[in-house]
Amino acid sequence: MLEVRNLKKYYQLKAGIFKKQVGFVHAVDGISFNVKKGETLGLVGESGCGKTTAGLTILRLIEPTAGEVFFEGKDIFKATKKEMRTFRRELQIIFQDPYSSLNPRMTVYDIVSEPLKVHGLARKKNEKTEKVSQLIKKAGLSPHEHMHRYPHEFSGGQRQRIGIARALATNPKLIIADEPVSSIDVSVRAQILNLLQDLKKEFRLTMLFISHDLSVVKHVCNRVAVMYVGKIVEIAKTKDLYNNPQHPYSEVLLSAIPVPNPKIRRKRILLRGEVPTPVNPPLGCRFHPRCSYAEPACEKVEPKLINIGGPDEHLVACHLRK
Amino acid sequence: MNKTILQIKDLKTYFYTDAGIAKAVDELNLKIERKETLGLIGESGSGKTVTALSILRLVPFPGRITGEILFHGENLLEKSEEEMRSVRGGNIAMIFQDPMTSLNPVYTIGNQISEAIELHQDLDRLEVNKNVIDMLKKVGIPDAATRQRDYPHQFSGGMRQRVMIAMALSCNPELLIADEATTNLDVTVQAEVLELMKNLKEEFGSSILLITHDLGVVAEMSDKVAVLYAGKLMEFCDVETAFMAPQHPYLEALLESIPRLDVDKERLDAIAGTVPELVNPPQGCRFHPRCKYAKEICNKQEPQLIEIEPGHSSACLRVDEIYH
Repeated sequence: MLEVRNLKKYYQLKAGIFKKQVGFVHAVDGISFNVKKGETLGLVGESGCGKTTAGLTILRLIEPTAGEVFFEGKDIFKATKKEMRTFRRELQIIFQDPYSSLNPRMTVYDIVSEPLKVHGLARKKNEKTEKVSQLIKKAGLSPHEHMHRYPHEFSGGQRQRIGIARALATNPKLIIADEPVSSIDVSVRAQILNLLQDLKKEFRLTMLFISHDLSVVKHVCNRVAVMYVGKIVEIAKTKDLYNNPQHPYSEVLLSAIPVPNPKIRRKRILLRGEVPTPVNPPLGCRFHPRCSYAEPACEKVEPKLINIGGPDEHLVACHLRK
Repeated sequence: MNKTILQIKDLKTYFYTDAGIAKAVDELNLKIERKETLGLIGESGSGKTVTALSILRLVPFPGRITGEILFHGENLLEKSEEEMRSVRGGNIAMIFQDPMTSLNPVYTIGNQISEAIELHQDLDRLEVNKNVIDMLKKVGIPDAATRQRDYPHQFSGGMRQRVMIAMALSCNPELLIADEATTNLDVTVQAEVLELMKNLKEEFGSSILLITHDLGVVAEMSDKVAVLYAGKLMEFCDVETAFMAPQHPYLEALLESIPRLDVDKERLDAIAGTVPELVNPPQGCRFHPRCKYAKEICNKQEPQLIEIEPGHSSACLRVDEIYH
């Protein structure tokens, strides 16, 4: 349904009074993946690995440097203004921070009805009100009580519900959820995750779920793609990835998560060194300076993403897995 | 010899705001033994940070602290401001949540750590400097002698948190308060910092008050667990009991609501409702509006923390009916 091919986003790095260009931040550096209809694909990685940039670029909320993104076979980056309007209706995003992604001067009604207005989905006033109250109800808020309030009157979890209602307003086919629960209280997180799950079923949504929290991703996603410094290092079915990670980085990442069970004392792989900067990523495999299995070849040749799982599609970019 | 190093008795920290009295911490009783790590679990607004700030008497206006905070049997709330200053950073040190804002950007790392050492120990400059470099080495900063001349912005988040830990441990505190010390870090960096804290605890023999909302971190680090909800202590027990056989509906519900790596679940058991506000907390048990076991009595009578078995206390009116 969504196919991303060799997507790149470089930011120019400028310095000095003449703003001379001194280099590039390789935020997203040639990633390819696809999201199948009805599935939830998780995009995980640590801060600065480019996962959010990837999400925003796919929606053309920031312009890509290179690459192609096909949505239902049509290239989003070559779309005309008019075609883009359709894409914007069918692709929606839920943002990480429910505090800054809602306009404090708009009521819930204004916020949720805006996409309807923009896309001309409900022309008459009562039609609009009807639709908005339906959406608010679907998101687990009460139309009667909440519709005419302002965002500051709500808690984090409730604000995220407003964000979800807004995303659903245009009846989208694909939703990109960028860290939708990471700024929400632990006891409320489950509500939002359950809500997303229910709505996904009801609206037959496809989802790209961007997160750094591997426990959440395991719960929500069918397949998971792991990113490291602008590159995808592994894509596999959730179960395969968590039980049998093939890339050394995925292995480290999974071993690092503290498990809420004091009886399980897991062996932890600690990493050497620091995350490299995306300005000057290491040559060859980007993980090689920190990898405990690194071989001479890893320093020179960049590994390609290859399938080692047969029909189950387990893609990994590592020289040692051939 | 007395093994308890910190005992909190009937601590009440109230904020007298225009909207009313916010009871951020209400009648809290806690004990930390020597060389013990106590995990303090709670969500935002549960009073865990205010508890930490109360111990160090750093609660901002309009907060007021009453009760007793006994550190080696001496009440910190009765000490003069000057005496407190030698306690802070000396006997009790704190690592804050945000390593970006808690370091001063215009001083070098070495400067900031030596300030802490100079304040609490009588050493000459060379010795201080040697200590600084030693500490930085201990927390795993490579090339410590050169890096101590760097400024905070030249360090990454994980490195800054290490610097904070070095600073906190530089005077060999008996109690280290870590307030969400790893929350903003990436998991791989968090793993390193947790490992570091464990090792340093062994080496220095300090006790740790570990404040976090991450149940995984608590399970891994703590010996005992205290659960706060809306300013009230709900449950207190050792770590295995907390995760295997909790005896308060809040902790039970919390454990069931989180997605976990070690358990597969089709659907999460969400806790209904939201975290209550502190100015007007629910009557009776503060958790009752969200509790699946709540009965009429729960919104009338406020539960007391009672010991249900040695070393395990719970503040639930129906604890006998639910868990026995």
